[in-house]
Amino acid sequence: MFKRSSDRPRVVLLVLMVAALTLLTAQFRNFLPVDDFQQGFRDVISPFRRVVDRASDPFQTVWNGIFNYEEVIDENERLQMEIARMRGEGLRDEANRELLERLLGEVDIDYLELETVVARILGVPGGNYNSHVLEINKGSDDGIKEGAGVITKAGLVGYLYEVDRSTSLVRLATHPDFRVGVRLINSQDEGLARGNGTADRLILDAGINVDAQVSIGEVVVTSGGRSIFPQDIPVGRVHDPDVEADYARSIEIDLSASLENLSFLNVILESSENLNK
Amino acid sequence: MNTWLRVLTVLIAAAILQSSIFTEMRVDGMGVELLLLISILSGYHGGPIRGAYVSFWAGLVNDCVVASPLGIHALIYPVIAVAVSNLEERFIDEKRAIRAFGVALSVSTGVLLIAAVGHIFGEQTFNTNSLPETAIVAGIMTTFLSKPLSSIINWTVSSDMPREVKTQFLGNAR
Repeated sequence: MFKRSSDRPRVVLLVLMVAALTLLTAQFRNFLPVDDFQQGFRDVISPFRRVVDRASDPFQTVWNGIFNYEEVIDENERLQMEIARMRGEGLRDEANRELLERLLGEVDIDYLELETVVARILGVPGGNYNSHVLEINKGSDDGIKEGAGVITKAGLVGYLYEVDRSTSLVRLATHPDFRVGVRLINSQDEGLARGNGTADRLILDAGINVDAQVSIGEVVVTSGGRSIFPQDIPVGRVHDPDVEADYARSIEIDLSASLENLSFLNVILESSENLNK
Repeated sequence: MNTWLRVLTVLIAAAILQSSIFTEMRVDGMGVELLLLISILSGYHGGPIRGAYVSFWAGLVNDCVVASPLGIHALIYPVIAVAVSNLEERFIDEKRAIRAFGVALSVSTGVLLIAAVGHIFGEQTFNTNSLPETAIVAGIMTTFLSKPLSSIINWTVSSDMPREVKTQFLGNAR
């Protein structure tokens, strides 16, 4: 029996789909050469990327001028308001600092003095596949490792989930797969918070008792322990304590670090000093 | 130049462009899908088998560039390429606007399928709230590149193929 010529594309397609599924299985089973292949590819094209980026800089500036002009104006206005607000708050902060130190001392929290590497944000990865992910200009050559926590002075930002030689990808705290152990400052209750895909907000829905006393505006910090984050990194404040929950609470937390307007980040180095904190 | 050497060159060049200039060229956060466009055009110009092979490698390259699990894009791109190749005969004589609409529709479908497959494999990377919007805008943006890229992909995948002999029926000769 002869095969029809139109069957051959179907056979080829089937073989390729099986090959793709095999690769996917290898990846999900942590078959290391697959990861290494991807990282190696990105490392090889990285110098060419930098050249193209530099060469196309004027073009990119024009593009941003055309399509992001409104955003630039909004950003400018926002920054001017921010400067005015910060000038006003500068004096008040002097007084507050002393009070804060005293309060943090009462709840046994030290000021964060973690050993970090400062990284500049390069942008988001190409295409449309990754949301809630940023690319930074530091990689394994700078001593950072996969899984390292990423923060700003304002608090928690995310963690590194892909580290190449000169660049890395940061999974932001708002990513649906992001998880972090947190502690509520007033009640000292600990739970597991997760990103839910919305901007600047986490959901704390595991580990907190239904009858726990949680108030709006309560400060939330990382709980440390076996988490990738050292303890006492500021996470944010309680936005909605979900006091009317019947059997499972879903507390909403506003992140203290704004993830919308980031330029530089701090990657926590995996030093014994940091891990002991 | 050998066909597969041309394909390799084009795919690496596309990977560099996708991860550099096209990461910045975004409208409201949504960007061009260059390697998906190469898959569509390779199906269009190279036929279903060659299109499937080229798009499989384009998918693998894209998986490396965007750091998605290796195989997610490679699973979908050949399907899109073969589908485009099967529809090509119907659209080849259509107006340019219709063909452009076909490219935009293919890109949008590809974006939606990738999101669906990613979700099946537990990769919640797409922002599902804006997914339809992302698919449409990515489709429109990518279509603008299809004209200049079409001739490059045509040269890449089909320059060593035998030229098609067009037959024309002039009616019944009596």
